[in-house]
Amino acid sequence: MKLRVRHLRLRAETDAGTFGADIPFDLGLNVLWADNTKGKSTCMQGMLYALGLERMLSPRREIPLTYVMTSHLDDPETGEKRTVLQSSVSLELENSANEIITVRRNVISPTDTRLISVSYGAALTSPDGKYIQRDFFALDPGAAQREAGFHRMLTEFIGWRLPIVRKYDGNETLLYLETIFPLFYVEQKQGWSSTPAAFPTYFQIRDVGRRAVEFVIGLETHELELRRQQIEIDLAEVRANWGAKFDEAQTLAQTSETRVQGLPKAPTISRDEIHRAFLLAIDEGTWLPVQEFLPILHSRVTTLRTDEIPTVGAMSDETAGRIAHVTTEFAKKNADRNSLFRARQREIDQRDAVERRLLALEEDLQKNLDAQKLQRLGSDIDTHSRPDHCPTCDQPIADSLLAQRVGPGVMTIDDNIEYIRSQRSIFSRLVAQSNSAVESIERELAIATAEANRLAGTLRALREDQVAPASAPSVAKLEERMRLESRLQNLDETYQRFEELKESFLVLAARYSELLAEKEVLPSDRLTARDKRIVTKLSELIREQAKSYGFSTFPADEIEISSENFRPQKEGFEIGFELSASDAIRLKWAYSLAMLELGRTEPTNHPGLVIFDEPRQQETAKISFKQLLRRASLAKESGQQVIFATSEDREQLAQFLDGIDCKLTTFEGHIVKRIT
Amino acid sequence: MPNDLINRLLDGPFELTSRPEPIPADLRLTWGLSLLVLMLGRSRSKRASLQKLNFLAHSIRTRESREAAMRLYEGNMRVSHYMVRVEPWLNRAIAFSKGYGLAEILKGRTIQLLPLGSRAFEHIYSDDSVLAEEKAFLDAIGKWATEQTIERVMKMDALL
Repeated sequence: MKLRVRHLRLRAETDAGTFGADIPFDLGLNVLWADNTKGKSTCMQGMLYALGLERMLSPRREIPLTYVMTSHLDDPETGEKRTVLQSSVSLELENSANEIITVRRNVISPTDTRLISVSYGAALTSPDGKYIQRDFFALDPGAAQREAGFHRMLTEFIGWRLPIVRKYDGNETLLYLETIFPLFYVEQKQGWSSTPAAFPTYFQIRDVGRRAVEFVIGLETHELELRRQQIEIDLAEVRANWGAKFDEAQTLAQTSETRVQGLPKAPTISRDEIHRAFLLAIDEGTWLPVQEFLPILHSRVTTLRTDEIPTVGAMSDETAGRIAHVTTEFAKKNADRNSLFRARQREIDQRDAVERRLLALEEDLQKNLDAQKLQRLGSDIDTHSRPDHCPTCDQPIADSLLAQRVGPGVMTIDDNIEYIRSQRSIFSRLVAQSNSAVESIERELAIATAEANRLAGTLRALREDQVAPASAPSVAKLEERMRLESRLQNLDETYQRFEELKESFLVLAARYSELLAEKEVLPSDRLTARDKRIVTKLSELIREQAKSYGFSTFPADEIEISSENFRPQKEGFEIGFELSASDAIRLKWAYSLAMLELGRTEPTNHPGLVIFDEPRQQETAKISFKQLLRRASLAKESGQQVIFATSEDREQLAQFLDGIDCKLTTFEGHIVKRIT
Repeated sequence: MPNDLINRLLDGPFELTSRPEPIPADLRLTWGLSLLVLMLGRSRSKRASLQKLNFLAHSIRTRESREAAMRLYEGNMRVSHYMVRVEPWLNRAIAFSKGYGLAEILKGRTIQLLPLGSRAFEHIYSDDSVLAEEKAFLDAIGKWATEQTIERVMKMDALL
């Protein structure tokens, strides 16, 4: 896990030429010095802005930059006021695989400022290279998850696997980057107000501070969360397998003219429930459980086998009566089949119509999503295709290529997409209903057809008996015997197969119950032994630094880190107002650098980067600041980076930095200067 | 409905508010303009006749129309069976594209992309996440659908 800032560039185009600033950064400690109100915070917050992280500071989507980047600037040479026509912030970044990207985001621009362009290369420090470029978007819902989302890209670039966290409304979401970055980037106002960090709360994430620290210091609770997700995936697999086996059972029943009873459609952990499932078979119009019907059928077959086959003559009276009866039955069965056929056709027509509608909806949805993206992202095209004003007369127009007319307006694309999605969900449900109706009709139809075939066979045999010589054996009796024998064999096989299927269901049920049990015992919040060791280590690092910075409200050895919420505490109570202002700053320094240092020895998710916008050294003793600089400069040995922006008295700063390995960048006057 | 009847049916005053209406996405300004830019950008010299644009606009719009055009292209459909319909939205898209400075109309017959339109085309064409089906279609029939070929289709001449 590494994120290193290589170069920052600000650009502002005015009618009098280009203004801007370029700040290179090295590994280790970087100190950026400029006088007050000369643009330090513009640079620091520019980094946040370039990374699409401004909502870390406030839920409002305002640009966290000063007027130099957003409206006008005073020409440092002539003192004239110049209007900024276009401006942008670019940032060159490197990750642990030594891959370099350059992100660029416009501040004033005719294009959408949610757009962040990424060049895959060192576009600022080696501008001659040819780099592939791609646009991403920030701030929108989905920026963290969708492929075109900038934060998803940034997450992958840093090499993070973000945890899924719960929100107050019970939904789940990825931990937003805006809630993680306050741990490395200390903004000059709110940033210093709390330790470990001022986390934005409006994302509605439960225990947001705890989740963020947990993730950054690489606790296993995070792994547990991933384990939990794996269990969910396994459970889904069991459900899918169960569904497949269920369908197999239905098919088996359909081909053997039986019905499945009591088999749960969704997984169950109850073995009894599975054992209780059974098949029904029809016997002359009555449905019987197969296991009851089999012995009956068996005894009938035995009787027929042992009885001698009567002659046609002996059966003639009975034959006439049976022909009449079977003919009526056969006609009835056929009528049933006809109406079932018609019902099935109706349902299939209905389903086909709905499916066609669904296809059309899918296509329209895709086009809407395209239109939405085109409208939102188009860098160049957006300038002129603002869909709400006529390009010629500048009057408002409807976003439509239909004739412009007075009356109800056209729905916005976002609403339109929602509208199509809701229609789609209704139609999908209709298709599912139709499918299940067709299936059930087909099951009935199969049974009715089998019955009709049986009756036809009987009828044929009876008719043969009528015309055969009186001494011949009765074909009808023979037919009955053969038919019953084959039915017995078929049902017997079906029964065996069904019992085998029940075994498969039992296996699935066992797996299901195993997974549920595993899910149950997953500790919800408890820290593992390893986690505890890491928290202890973090506490030690904080104490050690607090001591060297001159922490004095109480003995620094008494500072602990709560394993509940990771806030600093003393004797089990959170440290709050009792701290002196200077100790609050010292504690903040200690905590921020301790997390950085923890990453040197432990596999944490810390990106190895800490940024302090104005380390507030005025509020502490000089010796403390000197110590802080010394400690921060150690970052270089571990390939880490610390960036301080300060307006400390210059001579004073030179003394502090004496003997400390650091890259000092100083600016005379305004940081943003004329370039051309 | 006469007023007194309404009043008898209702026990209070009422009013109706018109709500925004959904429209098919292919009638959206952005979608239509982008498609126009795409069709022009994939044409020779980034220009196309109205006839060609009408042919492409009709062929590209839906899955079915794309499939029909592909059958024509592959020689599996007779020209006389291929019906090109005039898409009314196309003329409006062309008018807007002129207004926005994306394209110009030459002699009332040919539409030509302007530099802004070309930039828009590069942007849309290089972004794989939008208009994927439409781009694939243009890539497939682009070389074939020349002005001459389309002239033959419209005149119902045999293609071979």
